[in-house]
Amino acid sequence: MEQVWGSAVVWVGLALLASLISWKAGLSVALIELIVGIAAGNTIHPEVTDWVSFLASLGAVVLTFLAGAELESAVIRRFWKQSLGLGLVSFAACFVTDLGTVIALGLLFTSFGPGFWLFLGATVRAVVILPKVVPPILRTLNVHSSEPEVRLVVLVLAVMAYLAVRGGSEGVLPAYLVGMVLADTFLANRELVRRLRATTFALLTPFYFLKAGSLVSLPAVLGSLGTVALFFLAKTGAKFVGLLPTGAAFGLGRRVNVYTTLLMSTGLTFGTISALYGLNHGIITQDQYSVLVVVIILTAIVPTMIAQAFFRPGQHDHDPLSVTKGGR
Amino acid sequence: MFRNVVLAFEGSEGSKLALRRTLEVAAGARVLVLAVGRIPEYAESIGEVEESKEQAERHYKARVEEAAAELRAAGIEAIARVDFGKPADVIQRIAEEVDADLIVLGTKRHSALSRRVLGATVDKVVDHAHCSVLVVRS
Repeated sequence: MEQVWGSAVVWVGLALLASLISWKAGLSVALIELIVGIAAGNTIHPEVTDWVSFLASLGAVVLTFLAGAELESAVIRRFWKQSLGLGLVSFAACFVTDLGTVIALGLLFTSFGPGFWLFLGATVRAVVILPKVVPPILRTLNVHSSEPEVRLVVLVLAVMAYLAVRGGSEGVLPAYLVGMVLADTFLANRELVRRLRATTFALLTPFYFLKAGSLVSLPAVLGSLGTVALFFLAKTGAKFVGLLPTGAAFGLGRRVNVYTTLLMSTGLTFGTISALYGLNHGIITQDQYSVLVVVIILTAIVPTMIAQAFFRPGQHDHDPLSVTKGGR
Repeated sequence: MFRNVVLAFEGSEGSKLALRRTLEVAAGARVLVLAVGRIPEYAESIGEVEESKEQAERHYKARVEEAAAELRAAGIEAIARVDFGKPADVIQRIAEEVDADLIVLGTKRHSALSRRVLGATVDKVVDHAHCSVLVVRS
């Protein structure tokens, strides 16, 4: 028991440290958690226990669910071609951009055995049934201090993750689809989203990003700086090759198109999920994982910096995607 | 003397001093009491941004309303507003929007390291604002 609390002190301490740095510097907490994780993993070597891994996995699942639940169906219906097109091109060009990426990653991660077909059947049923059964259940459950609706969401995600892993896929992938089909329900229930988000950001996602960072070997990265630079340029360049023409085809103005392309270069969650999956399944070595995670961090920072500094759209730039959202 | 004043206010001791100084200099002016909630840069998800905005709204709303009420009690026309982004950028943008002729903000001493690494909002506002800036030191 003493050991459990000893680990808890270290990991929660790191989570708090990341939170304070993020607050003080005004930077994304996920990014800082990754960086703090890297620093800790190369100095104090926090032990990645089973319970840390469980909280990290649950954090990734709920975070992915929340990402899916951010998509309004009206916007998706109106922009499904752009969303799917950009997502798939983005993936094909490299990897990582939500909707298309989830589908592509789902197929990539899967071994097509009997478990996969069970998982696929369950996912299809869940996507159809959940939007019908969850809203009335939430209306009934939302009055108790034990937070039954939060527990219900976590249970659904746990069942889907179990089936996904059993089917040889990755637990986070159905979470995004479940989030998508429940997005309208959740957008109409802001308080539930707020509580779920608070729980996730406070206690779950720190473990995910800290753990992902702690597995990075800095000596491996320092020994492969050329590879890091090459991968960074390849990933960012591939985004440009794939996304700029696609964005132009969908009517984005030049400035907005470049801005969007640069922002779509980021992808901490799915990028680290892919890399962790590779590491956990022996597809890549720790050295390769280290290089990939550092590239993911760089692609989250550098393109965004360039976008904000040089390509921030003005009021008169043509942005068909912002029209239904009420503009900037 | 001044027509439109923007008072940057986040409830700190420095901004309370800035409020007191505004009471002295803003007679006859319209005052916008402005708090700026920071949106984390390089945010990974809409959720992270929304969470930051909601928390900032909850944190600052009562404070700016209270400061505006204090100004109104002194006979000064005042409204409160919470906005989001990089504080210096937002203060300048809104000052331009409302055609402010004075920005008032409080400041505290920063360490040299903090100033170099993080920058100070007051420095940026003084450097780039389109109008006069009154910096009240705590």
